[in-house]
Amino acid sequence: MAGENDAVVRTFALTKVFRDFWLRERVTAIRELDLTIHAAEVYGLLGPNGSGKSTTLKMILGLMFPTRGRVTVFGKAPTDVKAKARIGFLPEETYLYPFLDAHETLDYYGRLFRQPRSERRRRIEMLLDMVGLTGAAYRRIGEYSKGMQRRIGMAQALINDPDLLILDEPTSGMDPLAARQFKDLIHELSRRGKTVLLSSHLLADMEDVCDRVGILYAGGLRAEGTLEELLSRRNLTQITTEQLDAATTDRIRRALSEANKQLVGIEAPKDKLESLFLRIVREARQRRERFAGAVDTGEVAEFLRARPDQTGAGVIEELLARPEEAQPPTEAPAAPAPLAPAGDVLQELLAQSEEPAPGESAPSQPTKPTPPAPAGETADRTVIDSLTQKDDREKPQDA
Amino acid sequence: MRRFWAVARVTFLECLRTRVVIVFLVLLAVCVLAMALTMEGDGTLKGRIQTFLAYSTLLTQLLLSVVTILLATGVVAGDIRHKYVLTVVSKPLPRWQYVLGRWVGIALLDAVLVGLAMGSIYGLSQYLRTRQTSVERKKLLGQLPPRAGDLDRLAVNSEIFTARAKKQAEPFDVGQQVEAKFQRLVEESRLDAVIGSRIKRELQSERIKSRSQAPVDVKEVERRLRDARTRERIVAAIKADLKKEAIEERQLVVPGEGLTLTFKGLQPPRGRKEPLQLRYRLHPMHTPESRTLKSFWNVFNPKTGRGRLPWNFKDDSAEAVSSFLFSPKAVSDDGELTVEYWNFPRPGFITPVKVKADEVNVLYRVGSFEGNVVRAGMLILLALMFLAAVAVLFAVFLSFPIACLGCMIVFAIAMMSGFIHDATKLNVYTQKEPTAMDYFSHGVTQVAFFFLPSLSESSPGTALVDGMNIPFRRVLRESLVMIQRPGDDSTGLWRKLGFQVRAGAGLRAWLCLGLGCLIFWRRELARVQV
Repeated sequence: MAGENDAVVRTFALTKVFRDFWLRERVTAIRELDLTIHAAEVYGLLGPNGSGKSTTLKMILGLMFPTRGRVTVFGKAPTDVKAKARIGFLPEETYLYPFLDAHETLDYYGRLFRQPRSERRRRIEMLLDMVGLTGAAYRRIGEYSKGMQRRIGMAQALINDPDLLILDEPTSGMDPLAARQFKDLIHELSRRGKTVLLSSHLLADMEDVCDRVGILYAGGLRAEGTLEELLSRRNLTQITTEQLDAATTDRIRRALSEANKQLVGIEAPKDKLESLFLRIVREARQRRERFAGAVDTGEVAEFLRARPDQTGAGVIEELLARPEEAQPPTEAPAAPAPLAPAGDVLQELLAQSEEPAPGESAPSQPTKPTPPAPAGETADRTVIDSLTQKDDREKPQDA
Repeated sequence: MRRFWAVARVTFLECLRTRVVIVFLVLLAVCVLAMALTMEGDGTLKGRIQTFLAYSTLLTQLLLSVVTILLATGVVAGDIRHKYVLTVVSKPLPRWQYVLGRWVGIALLDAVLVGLAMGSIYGLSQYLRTRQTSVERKKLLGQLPPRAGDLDRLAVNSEIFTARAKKQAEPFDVGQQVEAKFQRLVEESRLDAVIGSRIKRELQSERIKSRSQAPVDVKEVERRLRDARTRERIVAAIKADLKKEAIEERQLVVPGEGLTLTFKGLQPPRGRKEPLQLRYRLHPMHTPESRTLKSFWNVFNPKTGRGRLPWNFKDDSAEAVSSFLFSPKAVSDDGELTVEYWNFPRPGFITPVKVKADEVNVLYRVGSFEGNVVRAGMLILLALMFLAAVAVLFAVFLSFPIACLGCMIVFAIAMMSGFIHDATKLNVYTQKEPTAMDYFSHGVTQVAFFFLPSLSESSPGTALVDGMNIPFRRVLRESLVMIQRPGDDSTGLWRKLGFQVRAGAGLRAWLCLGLGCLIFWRRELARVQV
């Protein structure tokens, strides 16, 4: 359990009131927010538009000043230069000088961190390679597509190998390849003990990378906790098997009925579009088709990677090397395979139902400190449901 | 400090890659070239080069000022508007270094632009100098005598392509006359009457101010007349008036009579044989139709009597600046020179002529034209740096168009400061009592000129045109603080102190930057839609 001492970001009764020209109170964007983000934690800030996510991030960065309350970053004021030297920031849009090229941009930000020339060059090369912009390094950023701008924006946020990475809508404008790489990067940084604070509307992305999330609504924190705590629905059980024939399905229905359990739904699982997209692009690259845009190497920059003695080296490479294996098959077989005999399927299934469903146990890193459970906080289930937008599969169906 | 240099470097790059700079540079190059090729002046080579120098320097100053304002407001206000500043300020860059870096970047660009512009002006003026004049062409063709145009070329070399110091004639010593006039007042027992009438005038003036209709109280006049301090003050004022009167008398030269003026502290370079120039202006009581006056001028060394001009009769223009050259031998070793003027009666027309001592000057070379051009460029650069600082100050809290407009107003006021200052002086054109509006406009301009430098005064164009030396200490004073004698427009406090401190453009620029840093430090840079 992590204590208060390892807090990287803390807010104390943080309040931000926006006023009009006559100093009349127009809106309270943040209301008495107490937030603690611990070292080596990937913290996601969720909330609908206007909930105060960006305001919170900007107060943490010292770009806005609280009306009341206080923010500390690494125990210092957010405007402290020493604190800022340990932060990397990617704004919600890429606010980079359009008249500079990618190389000049990274060089400029490297200079602001007072990096020696040789180190700057080394990092710039590695970062450009990592974000796939080596070929476009000398094109002005004003000529970049939005996705390419997001990539160079990510590179500038990492130029100082930050201890705290603050990302505002990081995957907006990124193609799935870049988004995937971004997630890998977050995992890698997290493994290295870096702290990541991100806000996003893309809940699937948040689900993939965050250790802990906080849900903001109308300037207040409505729910906070690990994904496990917030998302698990303990009153349901999910079973995944090979394709079943009608008879087996009927037997399962009956068995459930006898056990006085309601069946929520039975349907064939679908592949994710992301997996399909990634596979097609990878195949095109293997055929060496010409491409003028960003080219992914899939490699995290060496200075951002965890050293072998630090964590399990090569995990990312391993993941990238066998992406297809990690995903379920995307194409249906040409002819339906002969259905498995029902046999003792039901007994087996019923026996397994007592065990945790696959995917329920979130992968945890033994070296990482575990964030503390929300103190006395009860998750507001309705807010979570409205944000996570459950699809029809999860809605109860008539048997 | 490496961080602030990074900002300055990017600012320099940004400005170079902005089309504004290219457009203005092309415009400046075309205009300066066109001026060099088309301007004729008064038809002489000297007039042509002087006209070119005057207008090209002014145009350079104007165009570069506009570019500076556009760029300086654009880079800072643009950063805030397009939110580039969010990425920059979230890095470990103190905010004051961002402001300073932006300003230094603009100043560096200005230095390059001023260098290019002054280099071009210098090159083109040298090109004009080597060109044959129409007089010289006719001389070669034998249409004019062999020495025609030589004086014009001599004047170009000795009056333009040089850097000269100027020394005014010593003021008339009228102490004895003043004392004699005052003694006459005492002896004739008219002093009390004069003092009494002055006191009465003062009292009348006080009643007008207080809108009182009551007549002046005779007892009050008598009481003040007995008051020693009042009496002392009024005696001093009477003596000052007598001094003015004596000077008026001394500077008026009746026909057939002469006037002697002395110069002290002249320091022409030793061993040089370059001529010195005497420059003056004559004010006749009655102007002849031809507008010329017959005069005789003599200059000589007061110690040795050497350097006399043999037969220096001249036809001088009335109310206009005239000049002639004379030998350096006329200056004594301790830097003294005597000048004699004779009002030579002209057949059919005689008139008294007024010669003011402060309008008779001796000019002599103390430096090179090249050095002068460099220092002129530095003065222009200082003015631009001040404008850049004002632009940065405005842009840290105003949007681009508003900041731009504000800077343009500041620029216009600073350029016209002399005119505005005169126009808002109390009781300048009318002798009526000042109204509340007069006091208001006077107060506003006094405050404005406390903060603004006079760009018209610091403009080096006139000095270049007249070949006047721009001393390096003037550049230093403009960059920090100027300490000078109190002028006519100085307030009573400075007059009492005997000197006046004026902040140079450079110091004012630093003050603006300091204020800009303060505002930027407390400014919320992010705006969030809620």
